[in-house]
Amino acid sequence: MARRKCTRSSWERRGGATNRMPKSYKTLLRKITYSLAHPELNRILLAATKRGRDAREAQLATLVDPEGFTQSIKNLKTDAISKLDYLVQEFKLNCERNGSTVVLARDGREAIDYIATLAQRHGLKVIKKSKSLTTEEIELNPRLEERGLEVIETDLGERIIQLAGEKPYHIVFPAVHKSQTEVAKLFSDALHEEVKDDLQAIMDAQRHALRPIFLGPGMGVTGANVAVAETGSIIVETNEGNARLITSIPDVHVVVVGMEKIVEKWEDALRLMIAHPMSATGTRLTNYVSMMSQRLPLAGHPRRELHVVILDNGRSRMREDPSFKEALNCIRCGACMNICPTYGVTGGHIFGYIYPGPIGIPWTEEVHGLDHAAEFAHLCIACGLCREICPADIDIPMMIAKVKEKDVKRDGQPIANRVLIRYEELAKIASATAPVSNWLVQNGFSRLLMHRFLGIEKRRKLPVFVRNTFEKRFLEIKREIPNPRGRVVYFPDLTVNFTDPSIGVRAVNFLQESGIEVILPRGLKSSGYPYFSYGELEKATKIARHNVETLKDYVNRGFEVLATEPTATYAMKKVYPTLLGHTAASELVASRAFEFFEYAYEHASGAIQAAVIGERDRQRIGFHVPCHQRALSSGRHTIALLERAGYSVKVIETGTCCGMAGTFGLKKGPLGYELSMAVGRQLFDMFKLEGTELLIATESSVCTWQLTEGTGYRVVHPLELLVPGTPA
Amino acid sequence: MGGKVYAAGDADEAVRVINRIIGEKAKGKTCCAPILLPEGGAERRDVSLLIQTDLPFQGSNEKLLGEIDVGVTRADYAIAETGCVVELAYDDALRLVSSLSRIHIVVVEEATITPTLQDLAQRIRELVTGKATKPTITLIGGPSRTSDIELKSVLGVHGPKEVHAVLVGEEGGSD
Ligand code: SF4
Ligand code: SF4
Repeated sequence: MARRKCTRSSWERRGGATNRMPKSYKTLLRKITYSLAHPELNRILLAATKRGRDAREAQLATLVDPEGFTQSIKNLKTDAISKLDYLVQEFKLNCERNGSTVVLARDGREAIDYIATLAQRHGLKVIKKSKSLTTEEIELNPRLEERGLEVIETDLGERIIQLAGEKPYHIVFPAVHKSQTEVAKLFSDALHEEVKDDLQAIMDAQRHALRPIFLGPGMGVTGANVAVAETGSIIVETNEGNARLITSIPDVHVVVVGMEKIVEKWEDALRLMIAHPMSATGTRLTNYVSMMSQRLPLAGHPRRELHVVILDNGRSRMREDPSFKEALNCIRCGACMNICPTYGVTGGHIFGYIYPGPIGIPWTEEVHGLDHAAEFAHLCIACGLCREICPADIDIPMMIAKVKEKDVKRDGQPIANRVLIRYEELAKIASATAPVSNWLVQNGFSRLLMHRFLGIEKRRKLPVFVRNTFEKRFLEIKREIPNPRGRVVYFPDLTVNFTDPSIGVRAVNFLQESGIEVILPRGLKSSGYPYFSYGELEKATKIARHNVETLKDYVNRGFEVLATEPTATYAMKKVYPTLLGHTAASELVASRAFEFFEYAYEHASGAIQAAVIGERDRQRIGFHVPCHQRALSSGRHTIALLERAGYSVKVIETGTCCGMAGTFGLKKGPLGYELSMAVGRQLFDMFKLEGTELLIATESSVCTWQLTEGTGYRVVHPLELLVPGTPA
Repeated sequence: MGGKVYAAGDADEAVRVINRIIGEKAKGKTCCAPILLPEGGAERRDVSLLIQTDLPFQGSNEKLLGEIDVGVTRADYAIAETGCVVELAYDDALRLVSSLSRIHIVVVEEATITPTLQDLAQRIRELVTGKATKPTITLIGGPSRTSDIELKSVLGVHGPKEVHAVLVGEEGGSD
């Protein structure tokens, strides 16, 4: 099929009714279906990721200046990557001065060759390893085994997956998917003796089996968590203590270090030493941190060697690519895995190739190729949470969008994405043709057709379109405000305009009653976020440019920009500037874009009242923070205003997404509705525990659909609960 | 630091505390690395000769240390912020005494306690720059641990199951 742009005339035809799927999707769909049918597989993963998030947050809270800390990590990594060539040379020189041998391996093969040859030269048959993702990246173990070497992983988690013949499930907890019973069985088989299904028994078996290996002949291979250029030192962090034995007993120790791990100074290294465990497990420090600058004698025996293999394997190229350069800032803490909603229910064997999770998508694309990355990139629902949790402040969602874009350019979009991405145009048509269009979307037969041919899930209740759009309603309610206390542009997103104008009407009335002038610029488009989610970056950029150009003039005249949909504010503040290369206009608009209640809190807070919507509802509100709002205010202004108006508010959260993720949850099947519901289940259950008299409030329209469907409770926008009093 | 801490007023008391722990806990061989402690004024003495041991430190390699049950070492610093001790090794035998043993007893002088990890940066730089032998510096935070199986935390995977820190200094004693 010829490559065509997705123009209006061609999108229906590309793939058309045959619903052609890019190859990568088929495997993915099969895998998701399997995983959703076996939730027990991810029982421990879900607990692990939750614990990781909670512990991290608690630990972060003990810092005097958590934001300053994140900023310092980002700065030191950005700085190191920007002068990486120099640092590599400096590190190499200092290592050599210390008497170590250093090799620069351009790719995995060079690294493997070097290590295998070294072992052979020393007549060593056994390779003892401590945990190293970098050696996983180049698949060192199987390649060495092919050459007749015996490789033994000594970290418990790595040992488990080595015995099982699997890849790491999570970068911090590689075997988190294995139950104790399974581990006992794996160990029994490997040791040819019964290991009881008991944690202490497994631990004793591991200790006894590995002692003779630690003490016996062989070469030690480790990774490095950090390398320090100024003194040619390497740092290895472990909790079990296995790396201490591997770096002390063998006469030959090889370190495989990814180029990006090199920092300039000890101050940087010590900072990272705290950042790693803080983000990974929420602990203050890894149990053992070994900082080695040269090979030491053992009991006076001096002839011992240290070899340092600095691995490039695509890193130099990544550094030159502005889209992916930032991935080199990754400190491998795993926090993004702990918060990613779809990783949490699918796990690292589906959401990952060798590198799992959010950051695994760009890393895989860069070091293992687009084919492998495309197999899981579309699991990303663009919630943005990984970016918020990352200690190095990496814009992971943007890199993922770029990976999706590459894949979509090559293989095309599945039909459901092509339909939903054009939601705005569809909404326009649907609202112009309402109520006929509504009859169609509610009608069982047409829903079946949509399910079958357009990939829109038939079980999902679709929004009802209105003829009287917000744009039209605005003209009726717009008032002149003499001597306004503030002037704002209201940014209605899709939902307000086509399906729920009442929210926009309330917003405008609220502002006007508070003495604020409101305008609605002509030609403003909706946020375009779906294009970003589905990897159509050219279109997303076009919309961003259009909206920024439209808004810029108002901002220059002193207007501020408000949206009632968190995704719209998020797009203006967090996405447009990056898409537009941080132009002055995009940064200007970003700096004057606010969430509705953030603004209301500043300008109308003294005079807030509870809206009368029934006595019962006044009592208890369960508040849901949409993902994009987490990146903004986390709803704190809204909650404060609700409380000031007399509501009792409880934030109910799992710490991750409700699962809807824009239009993602509208799509049929495993990569859509089913996954979306699986992600939301935990959250639905938490709401249900609160009792049926609870009223749910959230500012996102799509979260509203999801929570309504998942809990059966009434879900409202906070604007339905609050009205301004007389301006002070 | 996830182990037990004992306070000792001076070197003699430290020796008594260490010998008591060994007496109560040892199930096998004990080895003690040199432990230089202050002796009034600028003098220091190695108290390791006063510790009950079965394995000599000098000349013991991994073959001999493979049988160690209790290892006694001195830490050069302790970091308050992260609750860890800092071991400087100029020979890997020292690292084996603290990592192969089932029980690790570590002696720390109160005066070496440093507030934050960052404070260590300049000291490390000096230790590993321009010297013929550059020590391996290890931060030790407590017993060896893992939670790789179902997130359940267990101690003593490959390294010590127990760590006992003996803090020597004026504030100590009386115990
Ligand atoms: S944006 Fe959300 S869904 Fe996508 S990788 Fe990040 S956390 Fe996962
Ligand atoms: S991308 Fe960020 S959060 Fe994810 S592992 Fe790397 S440093 Fe940690």
